[in-house]
Amino acid sequence: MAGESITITDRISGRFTTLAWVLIPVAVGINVVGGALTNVLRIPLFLDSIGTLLLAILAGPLVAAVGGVLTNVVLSVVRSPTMLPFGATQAAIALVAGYLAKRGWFLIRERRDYLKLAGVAVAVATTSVLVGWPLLVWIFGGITGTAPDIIVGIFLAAGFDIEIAALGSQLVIEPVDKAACVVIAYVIATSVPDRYRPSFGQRILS
Amino acid sequence: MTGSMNAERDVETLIEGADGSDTLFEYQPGSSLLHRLNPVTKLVCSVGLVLIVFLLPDFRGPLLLSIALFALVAAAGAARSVGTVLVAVGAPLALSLILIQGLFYPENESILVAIGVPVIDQLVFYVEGVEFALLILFRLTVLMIALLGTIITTHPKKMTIALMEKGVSNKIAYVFMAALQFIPQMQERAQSILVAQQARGLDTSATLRQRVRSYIALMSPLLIGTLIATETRALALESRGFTRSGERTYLLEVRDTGFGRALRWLTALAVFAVAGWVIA
Repeated sequence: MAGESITITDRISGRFTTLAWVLIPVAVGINVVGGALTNVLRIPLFLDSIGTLLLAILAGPLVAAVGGVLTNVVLSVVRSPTMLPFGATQAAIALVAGYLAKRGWFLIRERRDYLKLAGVAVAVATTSVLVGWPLLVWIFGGITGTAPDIIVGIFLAAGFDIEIAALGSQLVIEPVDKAACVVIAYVIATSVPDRYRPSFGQRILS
Repeated sequence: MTGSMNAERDVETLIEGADGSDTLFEYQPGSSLLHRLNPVTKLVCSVGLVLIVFLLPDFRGPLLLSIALFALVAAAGAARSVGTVLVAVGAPLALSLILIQGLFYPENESILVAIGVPVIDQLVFYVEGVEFALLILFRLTVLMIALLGTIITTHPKKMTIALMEKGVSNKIAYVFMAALQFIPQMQERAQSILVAQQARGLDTSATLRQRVRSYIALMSPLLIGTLIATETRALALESRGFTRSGERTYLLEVRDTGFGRALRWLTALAVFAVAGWVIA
């Protein structure tokens, strides 16, 4: 049945090379394993979008967006289906970071250029809050059964609405977490020897 | 995609290596109605049900649907696997929801129960907050049971074939399968890198700054190692006609029955009916 006509997914994915397709599962793996490693090292952050950001730097926004969505599809399979909605956040982060990478924001030659990296961190954190916040309110009513609930609880106890409480908890956690992800992803990406970098990444980082 | 049988075993090792909060999906072979349904039908029905419970404004509907769905999943012999995940994810969620919303939901007015506690005098749970908490909880319960039921009664390979037959690109199917297989492999690799770095003096109980550095020291070799492998993987896929278009035949046959088609239309109709009823 399939194959005769060109399907929608074919049209979207037509521009990806085989190498790009092979990189997507790598990003998913890095996201999931990286999140688990924070437990081993007792780092009080999620760091669950490093793979997505790495893919954005090494292979571009669209590939990274597919990797981001797939991460949460896989997480909803191996951990809990409640992770599924936040795939939208991953995709948005990927698009923003990948676009900025294309514009040369990851190209650091002198000291001043670190401001660009800070800019990426701000952009990614903002995107994450803007996309994650409505999902948190509409789907979960602010509570997800994880540690940030405490912050939501404090805001609600102080008499704020659920919308404000959810925004508050996002603002407390996301900027630190996403900024750390951006910096760590950059450091890891630059530690990859040039010959193993996909061609997109070679152009972005050197 | 030769390792689909491997993938199931490997996901188990993944979970063993991770911390206790992780739970596991596991395909359970069987011949129940749920097992025989076309995977796409199961997905469509799941999504439909999730849409319906998110449209319903009261917790009783989602509660009834949760019970009905759980009965269906139990009939397919998946009660234990679904139950484990439900308890592991649902219990902290329920506790958090009822505690926070029951006490502090902004529209709280009528008192449900007041518990005397030392220090702060008494804890008052309100009807509105608890009802809101239950609404969210049972919506998410339906989401979990529906998706877990689909996953547990469908072999991943069958799922990908069914999706490809419905027009999803074979590449999307590949990345899904590959990602599922990749995670346990990478987890194993990360474990050996961790051990290797510990032998070189990596301290997992140092200061936070040090630990973040250790994190990078673990992730870099992991990424570089997998990047080297991806080149080979890309060549292998290419040589098997990965990017070719044209008719494909599949080793596994996934049947689509008239009953399944009817079920899909029924689900779509139900979603619209509920949407109409809620808006009106």
